[in-house]
Amino acid sequence: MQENEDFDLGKLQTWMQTVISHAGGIEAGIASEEAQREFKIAPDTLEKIICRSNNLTSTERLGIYGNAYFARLLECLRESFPALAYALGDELFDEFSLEYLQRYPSQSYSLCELGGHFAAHLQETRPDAEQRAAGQIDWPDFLIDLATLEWNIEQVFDGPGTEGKPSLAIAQIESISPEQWSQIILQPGPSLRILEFQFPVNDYYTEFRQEKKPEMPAPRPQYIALNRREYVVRRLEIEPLEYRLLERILCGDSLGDVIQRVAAEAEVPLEQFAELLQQWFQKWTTAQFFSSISSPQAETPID
Amino acid sequence: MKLNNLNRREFAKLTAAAVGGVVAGTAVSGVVEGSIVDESPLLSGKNVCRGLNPKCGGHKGGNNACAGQGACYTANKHTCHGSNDCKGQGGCGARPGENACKGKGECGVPLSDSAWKRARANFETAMKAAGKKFGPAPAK
Repeated sequence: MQENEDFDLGKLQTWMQTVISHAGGIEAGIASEEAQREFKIAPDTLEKIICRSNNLTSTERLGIYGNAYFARLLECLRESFPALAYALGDELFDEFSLEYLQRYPSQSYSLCELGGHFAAHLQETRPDAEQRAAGQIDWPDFLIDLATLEWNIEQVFDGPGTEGKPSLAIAQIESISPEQWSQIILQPGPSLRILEFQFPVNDYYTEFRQEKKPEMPAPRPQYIALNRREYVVRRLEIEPLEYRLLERILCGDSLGDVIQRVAAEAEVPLEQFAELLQQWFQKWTTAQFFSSISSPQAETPID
Repeated sequence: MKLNNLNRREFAKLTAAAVGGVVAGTAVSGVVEGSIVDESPLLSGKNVCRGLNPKCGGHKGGNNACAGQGACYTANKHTCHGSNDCKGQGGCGARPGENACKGKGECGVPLSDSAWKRARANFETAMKAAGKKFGPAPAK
């Protein structure tokens, strides 16, 4: 920058950050209201702020930082959505990513949140929105499902967990009388998430991770439960009825309400439904889906 | 047949089955058939420290103190020095990330529905190669 009595490093830093991170590119960044607030300058007078070098103009020099900024964000998104990048191909994935970054510029100090709207972006920009509104399932759903799965895996990995805390113990249940069982509330572990997909993206993701080079599958509903134990994310395919039960549990319903609501949807004989409930609740407890139990007497969870 | 209007005995049977499952589950630790365990995609990545990740210091290769700094992600990979060409830096033209944007100065990021169009083209190619049928492209 040329010597100037009004030189203000803070202003210059704010201006430069605004310009190089502008989704429309350097020139649009310079012309933006935010940048103009710091320095009222046009691209053709940029040399007042950024000197040119022997080989590059001021805009070109600044552009290098703009490119690097977006390159890092792209790399970050590729790491968040590796299976989606594989499904689309790197080049096309980058194209979607750049559109995404224009629509949802990075707003957080943490790059961990960068991909948070990616699935929503795909949903909002899908070219077949009318068909989808009519309930038709088509190939864009596959990409959206895959983005949703990958983002949730990353969030479960990064989010709160139960590591270092005691898991649900038999003594907690034994302290509750059978008459009160219907009123107990199973507290889900903080990492538990359930997901409903139109395509079997969990299988696709598994094959991708096993480097089996999967192809886009035919649509079929798939229900997945995710949780984390010992800092490792676990993926478990579940039945539609399991999904409905866990959905109610995650809403905080009592055990009795959960069973009553879902039993009304279950098209199975009573005996069989009882067996399934026993089997599923055992599996979920083993998988540490629950962290504690609230009973009617205790307002706070029993630990 | 849907299980509407459960009587008291039926309801108690189902509740007992669920609680019995929970009790049985507490006796067994951890391994569930069908559960798929992956090494975290973040652990397998090259660049694991991304800004304010609270577990940043615990990641593979991440025994640093970079939480809160946000600057240690891919610290040495994409640095355009001086007058080099920034091929691979992303953002320009039809091949973002693979362009040679030397001398262009700015990478105006394309914004259109071109990505979806190209995705559709790739999808059709894949479906044809696999001998699968597919519907017409949306009108947009």
